[in-house]
Amino acid sequence: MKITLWGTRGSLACSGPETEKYGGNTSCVEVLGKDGTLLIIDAGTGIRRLGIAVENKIKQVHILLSHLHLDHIQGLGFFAPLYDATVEVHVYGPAQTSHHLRKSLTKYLSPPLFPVLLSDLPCQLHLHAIGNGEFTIGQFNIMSQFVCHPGRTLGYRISTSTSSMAYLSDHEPALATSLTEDDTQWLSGYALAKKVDLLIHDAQYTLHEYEERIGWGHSTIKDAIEFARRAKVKTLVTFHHDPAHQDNALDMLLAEIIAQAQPAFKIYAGYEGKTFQLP
Amino acid sequence: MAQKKIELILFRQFANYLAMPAFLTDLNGQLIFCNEATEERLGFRFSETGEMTAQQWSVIFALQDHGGNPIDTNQLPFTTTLQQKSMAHGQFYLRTLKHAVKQVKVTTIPLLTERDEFLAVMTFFQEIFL
Repeated sequence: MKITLWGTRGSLACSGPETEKYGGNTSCVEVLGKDGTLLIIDAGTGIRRLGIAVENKIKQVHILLSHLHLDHIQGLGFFAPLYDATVEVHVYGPAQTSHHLRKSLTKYLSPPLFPVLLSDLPCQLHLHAIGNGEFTIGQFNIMSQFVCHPGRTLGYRISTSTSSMAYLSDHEPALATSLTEDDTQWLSGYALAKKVDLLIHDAQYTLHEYEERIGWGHSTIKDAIEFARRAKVKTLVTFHHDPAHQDNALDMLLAEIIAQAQPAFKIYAGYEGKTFQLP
Repeated sequence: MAQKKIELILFRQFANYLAMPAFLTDLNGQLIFCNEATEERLGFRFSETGEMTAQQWSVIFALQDHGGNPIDTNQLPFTTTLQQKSMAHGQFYLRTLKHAVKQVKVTTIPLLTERDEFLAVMTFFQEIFL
């Protein structure tokens, strides 16, 4: 599978010279199978450019939403294939406790917040409210599981017969567990990330920032590394960068923490356009 | 051991912050977690005993009624919650591992999640001081 990062920023899109290296678009990851199956994880502002790249080239696409916070759905209305009547678009998102996924998405995709109604989109739209479970799309086996983050939020594990990746974009496992001490059975997201080839994980805060934002649903870079260590992943991609972290700050933060933690696996700070090829 | 579902993980975290005794049992009656307040009241360390079956904990804590008769697990609020997916309450005596006999009030609550999935039984209890 080929994985491409189209948006790596957390919370709020931020463009400018100070975020040029890592990018300012919010969460969006493309996962392309060898058989042509196209998965998109989250529909942050990064999905707009991805939509342009695949426009008129696809007949089916599957969008997996981790949750419905604005930074993960804001790009949806700007995804070109939604306006193509020949394209089948499947959107998967966390089942809500009291109403259907359609109602939640319609809150955003309707006036006065957005000019086009969800029901007026020309594409062949199918919504799937999902929870803990496993399903298959093309060559991919997908495991979805609720994780520690305010509001119902899913993490995903995507596997083929030869490789696996996990996506835990908004995830605060340290809120519920001692990352270093507790048994992994009590570790949020562990089953999704266990021994994956590639883990894309929330790394929004510094330790100092986290102290004032405990419970907001995000991790420190250090906790992301510790989580990856417990899960025995091969490669960690830090993701959901804080809008306040400029390129030079992100470079320094990661270098400093890697020097301290000395992890036995590879770490990359996720940036727009970065691709990973898994067998 | 398989990773627990997020609702159980979050309950455990919540209960760890409480000063009131709380514990979790799975749908087989297996004690899968108890907080420090429970450990303190019952005189044991969960980290040392590990998980216990319903049969084990009902015998270890010598659950008994007002007349001193052993209480079968079928008579416990826990069983009502398990069978009826509803809250239940009860009052009985138990013996701690430090050999103190205590009277307790117990409330059990089904932990229901998406699509009415029944994950576990949450139990809260309180000592009755006469």
